Amino acid sequence: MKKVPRQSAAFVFPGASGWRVRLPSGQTTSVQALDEAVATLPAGATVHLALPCHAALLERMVLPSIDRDELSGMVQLQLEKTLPYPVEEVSTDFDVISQEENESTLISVAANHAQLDQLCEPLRSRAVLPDKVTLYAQHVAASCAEEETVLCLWPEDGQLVVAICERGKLGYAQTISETDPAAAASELPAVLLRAEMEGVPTEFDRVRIEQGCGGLRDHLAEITGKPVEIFSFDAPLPESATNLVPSTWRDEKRKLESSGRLKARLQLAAMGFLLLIAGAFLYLAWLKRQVQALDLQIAQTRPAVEFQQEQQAKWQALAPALDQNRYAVEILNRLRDAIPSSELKFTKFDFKPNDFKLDCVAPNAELWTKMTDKVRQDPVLSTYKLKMDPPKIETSGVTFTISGTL
Amino acid sequence: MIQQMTPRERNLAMLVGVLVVGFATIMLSKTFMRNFRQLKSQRMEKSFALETMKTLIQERDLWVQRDQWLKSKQPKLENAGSAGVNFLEEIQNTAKAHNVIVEQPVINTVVNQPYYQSVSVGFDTKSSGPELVEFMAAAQGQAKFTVFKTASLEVAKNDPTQMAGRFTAERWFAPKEPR
Repeated sequence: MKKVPRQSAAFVFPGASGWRVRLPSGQTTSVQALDEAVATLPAGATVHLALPCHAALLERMVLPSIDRDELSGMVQLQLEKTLPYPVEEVSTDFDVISQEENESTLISVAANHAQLDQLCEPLRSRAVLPDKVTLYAQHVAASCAEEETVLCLWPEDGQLVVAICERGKLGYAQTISETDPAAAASELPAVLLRAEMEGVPTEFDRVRIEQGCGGLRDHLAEITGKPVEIFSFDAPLPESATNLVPSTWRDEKRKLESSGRLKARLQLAAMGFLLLIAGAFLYLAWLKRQVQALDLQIAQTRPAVEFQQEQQAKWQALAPALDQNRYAVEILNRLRDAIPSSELKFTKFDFKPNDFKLDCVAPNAELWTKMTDKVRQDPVLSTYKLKMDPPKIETSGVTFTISGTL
Repeated sequence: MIQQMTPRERNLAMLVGVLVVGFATIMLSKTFMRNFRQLKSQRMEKSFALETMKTLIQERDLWVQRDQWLKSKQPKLENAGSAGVNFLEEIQNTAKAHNVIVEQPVINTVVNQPYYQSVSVGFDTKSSGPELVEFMAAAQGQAKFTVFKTASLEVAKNDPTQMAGRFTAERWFAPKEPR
């Protein structure tokens, strides 16, 4: 028995009735239809579908070449002649069974695209496209020893598959509609005869049957005279080299992946966009909170400010009594200090707390100029809005008035 | 659903999606910018106002001291009827001390102001210029709460060496209802 590599894809293969699904974890379940199989698949899992024998067309060929590329072309030409469908409507692949000096014996496998689409519709409608499509019989053949010719029988979808495996490759396969052991045993010689007529070796080294065909064991032992082994559907089987995935499925899968990536990017962009909006409005909320905090501080500070403003207003109102610079005697003294010469005389001084008026007489206008200059430079008098009209020239001299208003 | 759409439907859906998202983005951006400008402006104004208030109240202690000084120093009006008489008497005494003759005294009624109650007296004076100035200096002082509401000085008509004055002096007592 060959060593089976660890599978990373979900393996869907035909069972005695319906399908069986082996998950990457190793767990195997039975389902009646493929749409039930979809439900068991983990999200994002890759799927490897193994077809039942009746879903594929097998043809054994002997071709005069040992080069795979040449063989590929030869197989295509042969199939164009023998297939009931146009070659463009099928997926084909072949497996070389044996090679002589300039000759290869191979088996070709063909699956009609329309039949594949119909069979896999439950999977495709849920955007689950198999990455690999093989023939289950080839997996069974790959589990046989390479140096032996083995007759294998197993139930598939209510039928019995009879397969001859040469050197670990499928050499011949035929289905028998009878599953009753006695009826199937009676048809077996005819199947073997047909195989022999096609050049398939019928001298077997051993016989292997699936455990569901246990009733055939004695019959087969009698017919073949060889030891009969039991194998189970649950045991993992080696991979097959062929792949019957239609190119349209590959394109569809690329589109699905592309739209999946686009969807992921759009989701990321939408999340980023929403985060940005949320961040922007959070920032606004933070700003508003700052404004509210300022309002609170202003409200807390306002009483102190109002008290101070009240005090300032009171002090301002009481200034005529408290501020020495607002006293009548202070204004008078400063005006006296501004007299440039003793020839300049005050004639009248009127005072109120917010204004004053001084009438003067001088011998000439030059004294008026000097006095007005000094008044303007006085630090207390300059706080008043001063009005100093040009002097009036009279016979006795010049008279002028200096007034100031707060 | 996207896989079941035809390319045309997909393109139309994309276009509609882009338009909707674009419109939503524009509306959200406008709302955000409007609120952002408003809040930023408010924050700036209120920060400035708060800074101004804090600067203002840095001198709080000074104003508290002034308030306490005023409360302690500003005279209280005990008897409105005699306050005018007492004030006039004080003026006359001060005038006498500086050789200023006080004539035609008048006592006016008490007037209530927000920050003081004023007791007012009117009088004329006759004196030399320097003596008048000394009298005026002695009559006023920071602790006296005396204000010359009006003061009119001129050379006496009949004696150029003398100054004639006409005054209305007020004493500002503490207000009736302290503020």
